[in-house]
Amino acid sequence: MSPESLEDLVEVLRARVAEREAAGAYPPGLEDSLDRHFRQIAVHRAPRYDYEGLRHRIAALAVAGSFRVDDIAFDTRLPGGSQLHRAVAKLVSRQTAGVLAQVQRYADAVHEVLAEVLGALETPAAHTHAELDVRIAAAIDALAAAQRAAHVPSALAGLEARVAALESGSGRTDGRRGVQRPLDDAAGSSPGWYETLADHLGASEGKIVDLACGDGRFLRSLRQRGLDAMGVERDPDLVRAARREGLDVEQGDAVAWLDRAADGELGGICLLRAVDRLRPQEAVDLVVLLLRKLRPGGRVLVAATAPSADAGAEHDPSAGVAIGPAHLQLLFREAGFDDVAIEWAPSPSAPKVAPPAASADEAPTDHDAEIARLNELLLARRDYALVARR
Amino acid sequence: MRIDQVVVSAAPGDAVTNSALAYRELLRRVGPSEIFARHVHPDLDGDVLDLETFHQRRPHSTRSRADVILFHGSIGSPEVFAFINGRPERIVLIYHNVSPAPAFMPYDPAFAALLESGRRDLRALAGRVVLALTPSAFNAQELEEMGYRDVRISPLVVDSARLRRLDPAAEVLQELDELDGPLLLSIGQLLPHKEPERVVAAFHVLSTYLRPDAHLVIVGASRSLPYRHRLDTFIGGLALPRLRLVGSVTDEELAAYLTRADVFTTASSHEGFCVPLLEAMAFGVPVVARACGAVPETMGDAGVLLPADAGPLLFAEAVHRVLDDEALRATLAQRATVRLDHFRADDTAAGFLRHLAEVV
Repeated sequence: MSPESLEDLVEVLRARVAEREAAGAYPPGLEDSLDRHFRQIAVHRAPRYDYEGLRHRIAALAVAGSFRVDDIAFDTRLPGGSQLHRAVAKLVSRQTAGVLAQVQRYADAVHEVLAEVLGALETPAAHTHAELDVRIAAAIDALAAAQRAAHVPSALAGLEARVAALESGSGRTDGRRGVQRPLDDAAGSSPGWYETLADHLGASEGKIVDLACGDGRFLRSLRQRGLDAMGVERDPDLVRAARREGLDVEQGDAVAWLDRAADGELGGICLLRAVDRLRPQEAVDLVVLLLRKLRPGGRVLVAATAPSADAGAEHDPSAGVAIGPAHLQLLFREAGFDDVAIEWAPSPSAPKVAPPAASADEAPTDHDAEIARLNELLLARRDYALVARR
Repeated sequence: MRIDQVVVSAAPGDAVTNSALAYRELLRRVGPSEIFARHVHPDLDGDVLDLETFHQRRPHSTRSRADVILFHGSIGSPEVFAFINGRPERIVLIYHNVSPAPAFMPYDPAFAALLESGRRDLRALAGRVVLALTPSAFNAQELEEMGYRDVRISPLVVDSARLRRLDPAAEVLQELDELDGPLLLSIGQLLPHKEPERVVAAFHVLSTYLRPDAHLVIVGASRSLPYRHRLDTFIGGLALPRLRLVGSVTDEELAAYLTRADVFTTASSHEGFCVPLLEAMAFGVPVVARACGAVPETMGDAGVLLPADAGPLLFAEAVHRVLDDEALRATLAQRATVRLDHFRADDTAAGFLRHLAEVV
């Protein structure tokens, strides 16, 4: 094709399309049906609840729910003499005032509770939605990763570098993406909880490795149960401390060590508080790597801190996110692990939504139990453990 | 006097960030110069500075008035606009374009509102800006509609051969070598105004009626879940096993896709410049695009420019023709070389500095 004719190309192409259409090469109305197909797909977006509107409506209740005996007519045109009418009206008015006082107390209490519930709903709703987004994004990334299965090693190299940067402290200076916080600084957990997790590995055959094992505290629990366990730790001081106690600990990068380990050999892998914040793709890569290194029937134990619903201020997607238990469970199931279970650390942190103060002359409300549940579900910062079997 | 830059967010591979990095290289030849961003991707930590540290590094002083801030306008951010408005330095605006809010309304009204506020804030900033630069006439017109006068066109400093100097990712090349037919490539974030669904519809026509052996790879991150869901449902309904959405990829992977691609397509309805066009040309990949936004002026005569209302049949026909017509491919490749020359980094950099020299 000569350069001059390129300018007429669009017309040539149009003519060719018309020719094909005339020859019946395309089904009639193909373009329209493609267009309709796209347009008719419903757009699913998370509903944004109008809390401002709800606030106004609750405020309006205060006006509508203000009962006054003056607004009720007690006069009558019935015959019978004014004396009698006044006496009856006085009686009725006193009874009505009593009823109204009770209704008013009830309305005020309802009003207060509604305002409280609104406050509780408002913030967590925004963040649970954000968490859902992260889960969906992770699932989409997992699909893309599955399509690019051949590329896992290269994705892994990025993860290694990332974890190395985090461990050496050069990742971020604010420490929010820190690795390996000591097991007992876990907010809201009873210190002994981690030791009990060792029970989950009791049935493991083959070597168990505790990645980023710190000073070997958990390793000791494993050894006390007679398990063949070793640790990997980057910090030479911690390695020395662990070795002094006779524990088998190798110094080095945990993920690099795991990557080098023979496929399908390990009986168990533990990652306790080892990686607190990950980007979705990093989480996917890590789960795939764990699956590859375990022998059939091998166990994996991951402990982390669940993101709390009021952690919004910390929510910086670029810095990775704290992985929630449901998210992690989804990843492990999708990767092909069996018996994927979540165990929560005991004792949630202090309640943040306070129950309404009960006054002496009122019956206790049954909202208290729901508020406690709300605290537990949404606002507590709690540690959890995931156990799964290959 | 010093010249610093402010962007809303900085991330690797992002076009605005890349241009800020290119400008910084130029500016540092003259004196100290930093890039500040409201959101910094961890991979750029230390290279791009947190906007919150600007005050510490550049305290208000009588000299500040002689200094210059290059502000990259691309998205709404009330904090960044408030910051810019509060600074005594002279402001030079580099307008990359703000995505059109209406396209996002059905998917994310809150984000649409943010885009709308971005345009409002830009309008309000007009009085403070001493020089407005933008890479295309399309953008310049938008700026003029927002009340800016004397807007200068200064094409982005793009090193379009950058990807060619990389080693293409071997595993992607290997995977693409196994394809049994021609490869269409589309690059762009999966967003409503980029309209990748048009590329998908055209590919449906192409692979169903014209070239059953064709493959389509769409490179680009999902930035809107509701839109992505709609696109996935659309693709699912058409049953297109030869189409792959590969998400965001590394530069080496991108180089591999460009090395192997037979045609580059984009159906975007709103582009402030469109760097991927030049990247495709740099790899000698012929381009088929819609005449929307700045696409015609960036592409010039070096590709097949379809009218903005081109439907999937015409789109597919154009791709089919480019795949089959060796002479056409040769012509396009030759014109691409000339076109790339027009955007030579040295020339665009010199042009940028000439404009800047007028205010410093």
